[in-house]
Amino acid sequence: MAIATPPGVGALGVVRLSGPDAIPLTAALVKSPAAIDAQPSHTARRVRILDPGTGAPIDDALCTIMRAPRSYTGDDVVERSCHGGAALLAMVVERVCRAGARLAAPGEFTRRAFLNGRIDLARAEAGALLINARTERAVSLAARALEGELGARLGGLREALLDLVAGLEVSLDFPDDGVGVDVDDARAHTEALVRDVEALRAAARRGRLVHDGITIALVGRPNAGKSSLLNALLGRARAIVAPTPGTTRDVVEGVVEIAGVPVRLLDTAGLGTPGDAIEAEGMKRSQAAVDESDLVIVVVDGRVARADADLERTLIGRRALVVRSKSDLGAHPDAEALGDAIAVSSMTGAGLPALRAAIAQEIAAIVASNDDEGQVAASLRQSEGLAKISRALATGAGALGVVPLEAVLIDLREALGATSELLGLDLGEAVLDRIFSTFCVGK
Amino acid sequence: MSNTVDGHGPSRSWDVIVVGAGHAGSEAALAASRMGCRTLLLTMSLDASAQMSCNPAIGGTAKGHLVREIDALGGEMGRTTDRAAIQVKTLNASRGPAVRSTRAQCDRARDRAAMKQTVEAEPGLDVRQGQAARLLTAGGRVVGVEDQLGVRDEARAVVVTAGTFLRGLIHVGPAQQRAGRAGEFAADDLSDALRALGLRLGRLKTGTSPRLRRSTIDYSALTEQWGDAEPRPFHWATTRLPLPQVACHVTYTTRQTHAIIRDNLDRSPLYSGVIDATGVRYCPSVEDKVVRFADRERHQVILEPDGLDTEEVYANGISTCLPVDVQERMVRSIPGLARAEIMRPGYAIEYHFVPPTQMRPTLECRDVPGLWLAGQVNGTTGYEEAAALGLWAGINAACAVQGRAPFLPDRSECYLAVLVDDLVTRGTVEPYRMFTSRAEYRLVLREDNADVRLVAHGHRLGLASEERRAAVETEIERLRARRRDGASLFQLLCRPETRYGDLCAGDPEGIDEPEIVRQVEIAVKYDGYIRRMREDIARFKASEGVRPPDALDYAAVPGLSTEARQRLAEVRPRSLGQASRVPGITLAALSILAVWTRKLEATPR
Repeated sequence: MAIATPPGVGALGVVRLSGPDAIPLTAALVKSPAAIDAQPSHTARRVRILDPGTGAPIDDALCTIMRAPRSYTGDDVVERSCHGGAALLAMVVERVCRAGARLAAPGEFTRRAFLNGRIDLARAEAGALLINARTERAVSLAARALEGELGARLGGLREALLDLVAGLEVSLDFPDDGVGVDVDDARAHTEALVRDVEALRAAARRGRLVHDGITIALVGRPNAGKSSLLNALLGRARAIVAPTPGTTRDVVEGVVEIAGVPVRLLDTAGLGTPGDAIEAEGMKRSQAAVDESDLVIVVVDGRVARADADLERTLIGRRALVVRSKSDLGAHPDAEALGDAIAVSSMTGAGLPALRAAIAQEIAAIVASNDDEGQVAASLRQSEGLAKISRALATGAGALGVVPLEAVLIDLREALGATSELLGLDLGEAVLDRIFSTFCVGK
Repeated sequence: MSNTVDGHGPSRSWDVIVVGAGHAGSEAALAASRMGCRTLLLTMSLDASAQMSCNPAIGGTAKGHLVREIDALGGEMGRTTDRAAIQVKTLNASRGPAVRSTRAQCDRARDRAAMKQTVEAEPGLDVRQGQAARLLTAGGRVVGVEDQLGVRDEARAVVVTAGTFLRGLIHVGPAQQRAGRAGEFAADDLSDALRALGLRLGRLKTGTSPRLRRSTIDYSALTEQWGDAEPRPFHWATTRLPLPQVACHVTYTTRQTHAIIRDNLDRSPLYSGVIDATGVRYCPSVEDKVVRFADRERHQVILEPDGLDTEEVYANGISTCLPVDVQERMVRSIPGLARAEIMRPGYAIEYHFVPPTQMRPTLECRDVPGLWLAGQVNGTTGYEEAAALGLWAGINAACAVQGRAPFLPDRSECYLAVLVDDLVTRGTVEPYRMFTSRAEYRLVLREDNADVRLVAHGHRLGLASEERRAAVETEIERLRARRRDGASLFQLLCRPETRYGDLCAGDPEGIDEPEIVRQVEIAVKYDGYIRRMREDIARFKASEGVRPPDALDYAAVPGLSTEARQRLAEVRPRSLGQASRVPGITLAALSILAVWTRKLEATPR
């Protein structure tokens, strides 16, 4: 049993109860014109929730019954949509516990659904991705995952691998029959499959970026205008802005959505020579923030711009955008030497749209495509599985023709096994089945 | 117990009774008696010991592996095959050593005679002709056998190896005949006796090709096939094959053959729906071939001499149950066979088997203690599979009688174990044949190292090859220590082009024995893969070592799906590893089982 709606106050709060005793238990706690024991599955009835001890009414609610096996968990499920008051819901939950139910552990309903075979692992993971999606784009990717998109692409891979493995095995177990795939063809097929899996992995990597978002670190000399820029991008006051250089001592974060991707902005302490131990610590954290970021925005005070060796060192090998801040206060003549820096004024908002567009372009490059076909939502387990398949296939492709076939088949079967496992499918006699349906062998 | 009802005198008492003297029964009886058990072999026909029912050949891919393992454990099949071999070939000779196997074409009559002689000459093994009709029980255990004459024999273990005889029914065209093999009685009473014990039975079918008269075959235009110039025997002690080697001949069906078959499909009981049993897809009938692979223009037919002293020729590749007139026309449409006479028509046979998930890994019936079942009756096809199962059951029946630990090597040790584990864990719905692809550790399960692998077990059962294994290990160590051109000899040998012979030329400490040379070569070439394999095997053995309690009530384990519960309750796996191989058991179910097992272990009773 659990409160299925998020904590806090709302118009509705749903208490969900799952298990073989869900219906009788609920019947003891509610009163309704028709007995809920007889309520047909997948219908909602209005009920009054009563205190079992005193009989006093607690709430007026809607009771939905879903009978096994066609429920979320596969057991009987009762959902009561009550008024969403925090205290009220707590009372309801407490009464249900006293009646014999147990509070569910995190994810327990989904776990039960999986164990009862109602959903497979991939769909369970997709459900989690959907719940945790923070942008519309992430939602649409997760929804496609729920539809089994990765599974469909993996299914094709499994079929191709079954054909390949069958074609090679048949020549080992039926050497007299003169059938089977030849080694050069097998190598070409395997290499093509490696390319397919790598494309899927890249799509999954991009999908993770869309889901998890990217991190941007704002760096620059003390008082260059980083905190003001952060606030401007976030659209509200978040970092502490003060004229004295060195005010930001910690890394301050904010999250904003750009181009459908969650972007975590890190405002760092200004890099330079630290004045005291606290400043030194702040600078250390700033360097760490830079290290973990996908993109760095270098903020340079437009009035005092000069080439900065320290900053350049920080940026080696990183994606970076350069921003000339405080453009409302004028620009230093040397500032032109900064090339394609974007002039921005956090005070007036000038240049901010251009900056957002430039960031969007960088995101597109990172995510490699703005077209959602180029990404697929994959869980960590699936990503690791894909990596394993790719490795096994690549080793197999390299070994074909060099090492005896039965040894190469170890790699190819590993790939086949990993693919089947990702799909939650048993291999069983699949290879033999494929051999006998494809080749006329045996006497 | 009462034994005078039928007036045959008091029943005799044995340690082990084996019912059926086919390939399985012969191995079972010999093993049990060689291990010291007083054994009776009861057979319907003393003239049909280890009779080959169709193709007179032993071995082949994966099957040859089984024969060598049987040989390494002291079984007979290797020795009798060598005594009857008239053509021996190494298959996959140009491929890696793991898939190289030996196949021997045999003189059918001599093969049978060799086994008959061995069985009858075995001290401690009694052989009697009789048809087992009833299984005697006491307190839920099988305690003996009664034959069709009413003669009773008691035993502490009964091994039934009934082959294809349980309610066997032969089909040729419209004709049906109750038989276990052409010309031999079916075992109908025995089939009923097994059912009466509560065992579930299934129905399978198989078939055989017609045999032709040699003098009516025109060999002039046909391709000859000879065996190897230096054939490798199966039995380790055979130095020379005693019989002269002969050729087989190759021909092919033609479009006309296919047309004849297609035009008469409705007269084939396979296709008219008369036979309702699952067939061997690894031995398709010619009707199957023509229907399923219709666009193939021809199918190979190999004409195999049935023996040195007989006119019979086995036409391998046209297994059929078409009516005799159609068989004749079909045969005569094949090049070389235009005037061929059929001496024995081909036929299909359907029979009962006992689905093997009802057996423990020792092949004793889980719900019928005292009864072992082995051979084609487990749902397999092939003489080698049958012999392997017979050996396994015979050894285990003897162990049970003697109070010894059972003989249960695992899948990483031998094909025998792969065979038994597949059968008792996954079951089978069609006749099961061994393939190298069924063995995930086939790289280390080779024909050439069979005795090395089974040495430990062989020791326990009275065989010894410790000297051979020690010699190989010593040589590998020597190679690791010696260096040439900056690399150890061992490393040099890892490059595929290097051959051990080249390396050790001129090296005084090099070993001459070709058998050892071969072993070393194999070990070093596969080294990297074998190392990976050993890591896999270590993990595998760990999961094989985790045992759920015997009396585990799967209904009480929380969180298992209904399907998982049913399958686990049926198989009653002895280990988590075996549980993982039960069809339909997901990773999730497995982890629940693991947690539950650990929990039960931790709970004091």
